[in-house]
Amino acid sequence: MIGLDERLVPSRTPLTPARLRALAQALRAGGGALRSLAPEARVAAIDRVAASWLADDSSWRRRAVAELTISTGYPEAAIAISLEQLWGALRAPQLTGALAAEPVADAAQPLPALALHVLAGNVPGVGIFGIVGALLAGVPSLVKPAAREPFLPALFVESLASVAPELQRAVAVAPWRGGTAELDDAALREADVVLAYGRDETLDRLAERRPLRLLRYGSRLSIAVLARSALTRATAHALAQQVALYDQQGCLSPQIALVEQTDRATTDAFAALVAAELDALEHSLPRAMPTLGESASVWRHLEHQRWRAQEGADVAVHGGRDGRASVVCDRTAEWPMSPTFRHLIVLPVATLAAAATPLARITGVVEAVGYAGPMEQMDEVARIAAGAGAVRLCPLERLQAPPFAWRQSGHPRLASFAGDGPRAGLAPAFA
Amino acid sequence: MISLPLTNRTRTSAAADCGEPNVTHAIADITTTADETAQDLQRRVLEFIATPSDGDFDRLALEVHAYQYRSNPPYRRFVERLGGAPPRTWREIPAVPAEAFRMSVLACGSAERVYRSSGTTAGLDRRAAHHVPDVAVYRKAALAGFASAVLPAGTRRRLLVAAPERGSHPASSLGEMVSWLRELYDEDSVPSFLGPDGVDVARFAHTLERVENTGPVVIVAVTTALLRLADWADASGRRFPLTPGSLVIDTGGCKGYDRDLGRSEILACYRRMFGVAPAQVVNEYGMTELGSQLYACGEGPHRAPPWLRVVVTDLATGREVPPGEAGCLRFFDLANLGSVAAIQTEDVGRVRRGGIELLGRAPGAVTRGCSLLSAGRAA
Repeated sequence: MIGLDERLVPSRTPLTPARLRALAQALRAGGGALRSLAPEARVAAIDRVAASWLADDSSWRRRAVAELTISTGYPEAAIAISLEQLWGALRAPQLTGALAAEPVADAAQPLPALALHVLAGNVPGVGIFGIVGALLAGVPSLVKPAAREPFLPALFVESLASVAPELQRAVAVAPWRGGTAELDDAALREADVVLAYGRDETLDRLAERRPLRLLRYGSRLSIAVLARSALTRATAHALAQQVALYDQQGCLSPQIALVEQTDRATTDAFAALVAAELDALEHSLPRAMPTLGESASVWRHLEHQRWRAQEGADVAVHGGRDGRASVVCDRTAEWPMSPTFRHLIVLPVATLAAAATPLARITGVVEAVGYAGPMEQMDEVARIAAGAGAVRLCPLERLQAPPFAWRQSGHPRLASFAGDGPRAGLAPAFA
Repeated sequence: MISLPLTNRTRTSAAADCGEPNVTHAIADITTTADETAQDLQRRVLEFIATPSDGDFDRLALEVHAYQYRSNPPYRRFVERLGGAPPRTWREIPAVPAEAFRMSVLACGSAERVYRSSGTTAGLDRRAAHHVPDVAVYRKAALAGFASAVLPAGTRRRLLVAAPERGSHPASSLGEMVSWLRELYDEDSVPSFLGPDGVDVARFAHTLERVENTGPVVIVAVTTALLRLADWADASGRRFPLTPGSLVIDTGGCKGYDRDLGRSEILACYRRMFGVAPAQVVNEYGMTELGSQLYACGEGPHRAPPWLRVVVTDLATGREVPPGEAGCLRFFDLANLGSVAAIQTEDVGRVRRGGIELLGRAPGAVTRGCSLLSAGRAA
């Protein structure tokens, strides 16, 4: 039996390798019960959980907003948006669609007996899709939450126990300090598959400990591609919203906007408009307080670009006063990178086809492309996105509201558990 | 999130480097050297360094700023870009980011020397270059600062050097300074233990054994050279007790070393190896872009000479942080008369015990450090 208290944070007794092993054992034992549920029953159970989070008077959501505002530093508005998008994507139609697209029941390879999820704290709820994917696939999960954000996984498990008790023995949350060798090793030895989120360095360190199978969700970024006919105030607002939502900390946050240029003045005016929109968002969606190191990296970026502009480089810096949000419009071949924290790089291109050149430098780290423009140019944009190794192409304003079946970091949501490796190429849906 | 080791300067390699076309072109464009004002200012800066007078600093600083505004085109463009009212005190003088020394030639006239950072981590084409039109000011500041903080002028000691010198690292400002120290203080001429392949630990150890009980010595070394020596000494069970009155002067922090040690661990290591108390150990902090240096004795804070002022700032706002809070160091150095006196760095520190406690580099900053030079030959 797994007592409920073992799934909650903070744990009452210190976690030991023996306790972790016992927890893993109990989860594996619970896997049989999970798999004995019909897929429709699992879908229905998760749908109930999602509904309980989306209800007007949801205590889970209220508590999550209160806790996550403190733990992540993001404003209430950002947390509220993230929760709405998260649970909105976990309703029965989406889950059923995913099961139909990625049937795992008749997979040739046996399903893992236990998945370990090592979560990151950069964006709220970043690993929840993975846990739900495991539940749908019939794989129990041991979850190591991020030190910075342990609350959402704990509340999720609490809501499972309350609303979908048939699933509660298939998920446990066990917080421990990453890098504690004996606990890391105990957990990695128990797991047949590890879903790990975080910086590449963190994942490299995990890989060195030789887990049986590692699904990496590492450092990635997203880009916006804007056709010239889309350079409107509405697009500027949508772009600014995507930049501001998680301070560019997520893999779906746009860091670069490739803008199809008609003339300099129009592009510059658009870049200034995005900067103004970002400035305005400081009121409704204020930035998380940067650390000294984060402030320094922003300062370095802004000073570097301002100095280049001062000395004649074809660069314009919009905004950025006192380290606040900025838009750097760069027409040189230097193609700077964003320090994140709401500092967007705009790269004007003569045609959308020409966007492939600056993107070549970041091929392999592009997660998604958010597009604004006429549908007639979609094929062109899809070619560019696929060339950059993106796994998702969507409307600009949906960039950070991914569907459940999104092939995150290339990993199929359900089929990964049946042994499918990461897949290159774009997901078929433009959503 | 300040996690990087204490760093000091990264100055390395060759003297006046006019071979690069962009550099010579830029210098040719710059207003030619010292007019009468410049000569007068140089005289007064040298006088201030010789006999500092607190009351004169602000006036002199504002005149230096006005001179640099007139004579240093990129700096003038920088000041004009910032706009705002003319400064009324040295604290209001616009400080260029240290990064600007990697991007532009910041000099008031033709350079007598060009000092370059090692660029080991930033890449050779991204090295900081300090174009110095008046080496006399640098020499005066470096030696006066050393005499006041470390060893009075006129003292003669055997110097044991494991740091860059002019001959081996002609563009290193530290190398230049160490060579001046040799000329002024060294009563012997033991060749440096730091070569192109790193520190020659075996010869260093052999020399230390040979000079045991022959009188006080002064060790001038990059920190990692001493740490590598300590590793070798620990492995071979050797110790090198120094004669009372000896000094250990280190610089550069742990960059390039396989562990990041705190200052107290480094002092403990020196005590184990040399038998020296913390009061016999002095840490030097300098940077290629700065003519003057700060020194810290034992675990004490770093102190600047009177002609170098330091404030701790919040980079986001540019404002000073309250005493005791961590921020990034901004310098105003009269010894930078010929380039730019006001420099904003990403070195993190806080005001403590009447000095500056250095806390490392802001994460993600370009690593600087002459200590990197000692990597390579460890045994």
